[in-house]
Amino acid sequence: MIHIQDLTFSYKKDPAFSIAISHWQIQPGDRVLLQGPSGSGKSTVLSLIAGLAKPESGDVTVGGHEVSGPGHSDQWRADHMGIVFQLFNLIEYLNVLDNITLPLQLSKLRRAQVQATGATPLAMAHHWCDQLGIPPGLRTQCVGCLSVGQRQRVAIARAFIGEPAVVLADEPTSALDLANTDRFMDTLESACQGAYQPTVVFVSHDSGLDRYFTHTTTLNAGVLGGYGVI
Amino acid sequence: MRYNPVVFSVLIGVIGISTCLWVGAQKVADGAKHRFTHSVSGVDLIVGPRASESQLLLHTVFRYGQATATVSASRLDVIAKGSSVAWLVPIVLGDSYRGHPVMGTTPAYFDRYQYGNQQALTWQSGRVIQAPMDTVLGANVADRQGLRLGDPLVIAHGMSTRSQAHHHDHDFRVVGILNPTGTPVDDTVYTSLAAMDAVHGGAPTRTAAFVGLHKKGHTFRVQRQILQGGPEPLMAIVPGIALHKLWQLFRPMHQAVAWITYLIGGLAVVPLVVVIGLSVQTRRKEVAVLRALGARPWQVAALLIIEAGCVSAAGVGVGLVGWLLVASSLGPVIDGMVGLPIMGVGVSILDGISASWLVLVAMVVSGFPAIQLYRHAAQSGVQSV
Repeated sequence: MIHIQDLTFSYKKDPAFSIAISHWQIQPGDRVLLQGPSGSGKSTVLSLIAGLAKPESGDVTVGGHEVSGPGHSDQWRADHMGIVFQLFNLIEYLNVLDNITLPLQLSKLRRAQVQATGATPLAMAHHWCDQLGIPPGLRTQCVGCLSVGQRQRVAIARAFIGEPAVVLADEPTSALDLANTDRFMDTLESACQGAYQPTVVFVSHDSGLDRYFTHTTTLNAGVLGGYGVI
Repeated sequence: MRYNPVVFSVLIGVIGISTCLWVGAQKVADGAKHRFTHSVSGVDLIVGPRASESQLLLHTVFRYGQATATVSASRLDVIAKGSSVAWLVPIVLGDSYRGHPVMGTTPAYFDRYQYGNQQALTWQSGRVIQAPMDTVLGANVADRQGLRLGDPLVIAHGMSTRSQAHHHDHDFRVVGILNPTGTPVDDTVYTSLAAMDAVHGGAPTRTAAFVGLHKKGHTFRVQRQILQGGPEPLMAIVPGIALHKLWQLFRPMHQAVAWITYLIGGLAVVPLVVVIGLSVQTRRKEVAVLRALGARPWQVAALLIIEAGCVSAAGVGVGLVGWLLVASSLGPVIDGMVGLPIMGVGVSILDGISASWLVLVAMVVSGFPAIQLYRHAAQSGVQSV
């Protein structure tokens, strides 16, 4: 599903920092925990997989599509990837349902996938709200008035709606306490149950999350450690 | 996308004030031209002794300058009897009251003389001249000299405010006061031809005459007849044409006003550019999120530009309404105090179109930071935010 080969990357403004990954293969449906200390390059690797950063050399392909090449488009990312951000980054003035359906407005393919199930985008947003336990009374509220736990669930629903093949999560539990972290991970796991089995790459420096994933690996100073099955 | 309420309010306010200034400056400039070129209307010809066109116009309409010669009353009677002439109102100028020009005329003047868009003279109080010593005052004369109906006044010979030659033996009395017109009518003291003849003595002479024709199409024919016929060297001018010609003399001044208007518009753009630029910069996070979720460059740019267009259009609307309120509440006061005319207090579609360049500027201006933001978002990756 995700294949990285002979990749090197460094920032122009910080040439001392670099990432080098000779080979990394992630199979469809794998749920991968990418761990490492702060500043090790975990988020940069996610950006490289998302096509938001370009490597100096090497290839990154996702589902056979070369995201590291010049032909990679934002549209491909909209069609095939869901992203959960560190601080969730919901659009504050939109309500819960509008936030969840936002990716469908940016991707015809994901919209078509929703419609293929016989549902409308709005109905699908309600479906995800039901699945993630977002009460009906909150769904038309602005996200600004939601609790942290509710925001997490909206962020997950936004990433998963339209069933993208890949979901990337950039330290979404870093600012959460233990109880909220467990709740978030349980929610994420429940979203991946059933027929829809996305490939998930989850970045965290918290080693206690292993149990929620099928594979784990580490990144230290830009160098990928062993990739193993849990 | 959406602006935060503070930025939104500032943006609407800046564009509203810019619109208000732009429309206001244009209205004042247009008003000055309109007032000048419509100082007299409803008069087809002004007949006077042969001189320059502008001299006759300035003297009879603006009461400026001195008459170089006079016209005999009998000659004007002949012209009045012409088949094409509907009416003729003779006037006598040359005397003054405390610096205000005095005009001797007939009661018909108050019915025939019009200004602006065929607006007739109206009465603040009193009535038209009936007896020889009856006097009617323009609104400014009554106001500045503190005169009321029934007050006596002494007319001075000549136009100098220091003139010692007063017609003391003639007891003029105020019988009517006109409403303000914003034209030289407001600064004029009117009395009868008989009174002017009496104070000056000798054979009755006239300074000029206002003429109305049965058909406008006869204007140039009658003008030619007056120019060519009779022993006295007379001329007739078409006031509308003469006023527009005279306005050309003021063209450099009008152009200066136009440049000031453009300057106001240009200055209005500065805060607009700054506020739009800053407001778009505050959308950094949203743009980064949208970019990461797969929004294409044109989608992000279109969102910001269309949004800036909508907000600035709302600002223009607020500005036009603001202008309407300012002009309708303060316009007459400003006009009365400093003679600053405001052309058409209302706002029209044309005013909206005229101010819509501000919307275009806002849209163009928002495009540049939109591109910058998109590039920044591309560099930020998934942690952008």
